[in-house]
Amino acid sequence: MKKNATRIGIILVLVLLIAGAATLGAQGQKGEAEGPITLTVWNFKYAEEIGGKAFREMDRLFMEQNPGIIIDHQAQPESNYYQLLISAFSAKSDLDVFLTHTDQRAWGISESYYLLDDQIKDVMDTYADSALEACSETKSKDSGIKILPLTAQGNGFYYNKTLLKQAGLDPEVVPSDWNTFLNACEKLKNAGITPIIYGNQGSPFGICFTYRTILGTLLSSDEIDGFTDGSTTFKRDEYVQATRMIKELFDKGYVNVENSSIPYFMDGITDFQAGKGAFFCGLNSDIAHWKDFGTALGYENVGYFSAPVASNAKYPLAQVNQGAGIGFAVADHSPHKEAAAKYVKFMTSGEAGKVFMDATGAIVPNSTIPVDASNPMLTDILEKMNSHATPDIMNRVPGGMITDYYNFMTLYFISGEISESRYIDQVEAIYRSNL
Amino acid sequence: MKRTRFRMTQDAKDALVLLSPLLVLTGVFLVFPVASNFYYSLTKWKGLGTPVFIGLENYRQLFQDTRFYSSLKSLGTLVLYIPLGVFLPLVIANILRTGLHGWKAYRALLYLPNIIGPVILGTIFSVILSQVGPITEILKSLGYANANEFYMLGKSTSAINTLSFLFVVWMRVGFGCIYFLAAMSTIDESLYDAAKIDGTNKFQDFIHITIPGIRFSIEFFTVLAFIEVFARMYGMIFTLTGGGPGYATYTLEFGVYMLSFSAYQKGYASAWAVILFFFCAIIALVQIRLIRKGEQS
Repeated sequence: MKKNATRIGIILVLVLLIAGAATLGAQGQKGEAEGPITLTVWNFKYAEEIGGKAFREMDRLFMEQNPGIIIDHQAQPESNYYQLLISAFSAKSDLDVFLTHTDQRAWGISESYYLLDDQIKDVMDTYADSALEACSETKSKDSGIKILPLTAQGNGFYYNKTLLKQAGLDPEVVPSDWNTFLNACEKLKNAGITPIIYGNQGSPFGICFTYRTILGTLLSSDEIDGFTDGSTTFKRDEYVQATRMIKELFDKGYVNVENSSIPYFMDGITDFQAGKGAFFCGLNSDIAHWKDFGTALGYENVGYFSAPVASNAKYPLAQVNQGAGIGFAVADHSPHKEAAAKYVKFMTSGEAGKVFMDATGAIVPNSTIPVDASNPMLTDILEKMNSHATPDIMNRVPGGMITDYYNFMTLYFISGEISESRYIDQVEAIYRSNL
Repeated sequence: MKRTRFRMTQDAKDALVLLSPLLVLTGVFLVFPVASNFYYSLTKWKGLGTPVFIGLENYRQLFQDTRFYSSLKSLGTLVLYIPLGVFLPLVIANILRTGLHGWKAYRALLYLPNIIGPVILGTIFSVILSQVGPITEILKSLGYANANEFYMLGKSTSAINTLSFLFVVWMRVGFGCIYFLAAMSTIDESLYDAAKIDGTNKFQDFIHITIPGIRFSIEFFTVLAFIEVFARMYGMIFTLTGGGPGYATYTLEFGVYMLSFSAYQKGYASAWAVILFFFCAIIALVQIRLIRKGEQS
């Protein structure tokens, strides 16, 4: 009886060990089988209706031209995307290509991104220099490229000309000068029109995007770059000034009262599209952009300016330009790096890039994709992005500070619970602790 | 010198062999992660690459970190709600026990939050309590012009109190009622009959018979509440407040997640997890003592 118990126990342990080993072995075997290569692609935009449809079409084109490669495109949630990526990198799980932003969230884990330099020599000159710099680990257009750009991105203010007209304003006068902007907000408010639509629930993007545009006009490119290594501080007068400018908008009642209860994506955007407010700090590409608003309100009824410009702004024409907003990268542990590199090149240029641009209105920074020059608003934005580009502060600060930074934005601008000095001190402390 | 030789009995050997699969699983999935967490708390590591040993630097940083003290403050507020979170279901269970018309329907309604779960509840309440939610609309319809300003999650004090009430009190009422009702069913009915002969009222029955009769269950439920507060709140915080405004609803558990997965500071997050581990260990010790006490009594 006792011997039987011992035997049963030993068998149980052995079964457990064999099952574990078999599972690990099976994982190790994956990808080594002969036949067509399957590339697993992760994408936080794949579940979107328009974007997803475009990606499916782009994949179809790629597989048609590359019969030996199968694309397994998987939608992933954007809210936890980088956490999922870290887990995939750590576990070296099935992941070959992934969509990524080009900010510090990416550069914080870029050792797991495959260096594309050798794979893209033949097409380097087709990408915009600013886009390649944004996609380079060394911020060089010639080397250190770990992402291929799918969109060029920036921020700016869109305005509803019809509502301005209703408030007795001349819609053809661009209200970018700070005093003109405030005057327009006051008149709109008096006419019963909400001057500014912000979406600040969860992440206060309304406030954050406004900061980006204003700081672009107050700080030089080098000063903004200085946020990467701590050589620029949040205690600078320019940051204090931008803070006061945004606070003034809140204090004077120019911001939609429900701003802290509606998320920027998509409620803020749809409110502006529905004509519920006159100004909206949007994006230049991809979403919340010229096409979204032009289609909803009529292109002739939408105006655009890069930023509200203070009278002492040193760079009044500055247009925030991230170089690249999102792009495709290859996982360093992928067993199919060459095929994966081929795929990311295909997706960010030529026929596939055009499919994405036409579907979403994104600005794809690749010369093989002709940009529609017939749209005056797009032409204006492109001219600003090309001629007056300045870096985006949020692409420079450490990715780890963003959540806490947003929490204190809410506490200062919306709850009004802390003083300006405490807010600035706290932001600086958060920044330093994440450097 | 005579050496004593350790010899296992055959029964002990058999027990060890039979327990070994469980021991292996516990070692791999529980002991090893906890032990490695202690090691990582002494390193600078972001979850990728090789951890760099930095000694007690993470702990030095932790004790200077505003977030850490805000977390303790939040936990303090949450803990203050535990007495209410225990007392309320106890009273409701007592009312249900003594008979209430249609009490089965009430029981189902009260248990509903437990079925839905904290993530969904957090999301639902973030909408209900928002400036564009039903509460604001009701207030507006009642003629309160500035209803938009009534935003419970927008201010630090109201946010942590709202979170505390929802999670520690409201969400646990259903489970508490069922739990206490089950415990009350074990009390000998003859005690109540005898008390009735002595002329006691329902309140006196509750204080002198019911509470002493289920004392162990009340203590155990209280310990469970502590565990929930320290180690199971993440889902609701994430969906309801995101730790804000500021750090008003930050807790140790939430901090571990944010530092680890949002800030890529896994080494530092491990130091937070070690502190959380000690809090949980204290609660577990209390729980074990209570169980032993219950078994003895």
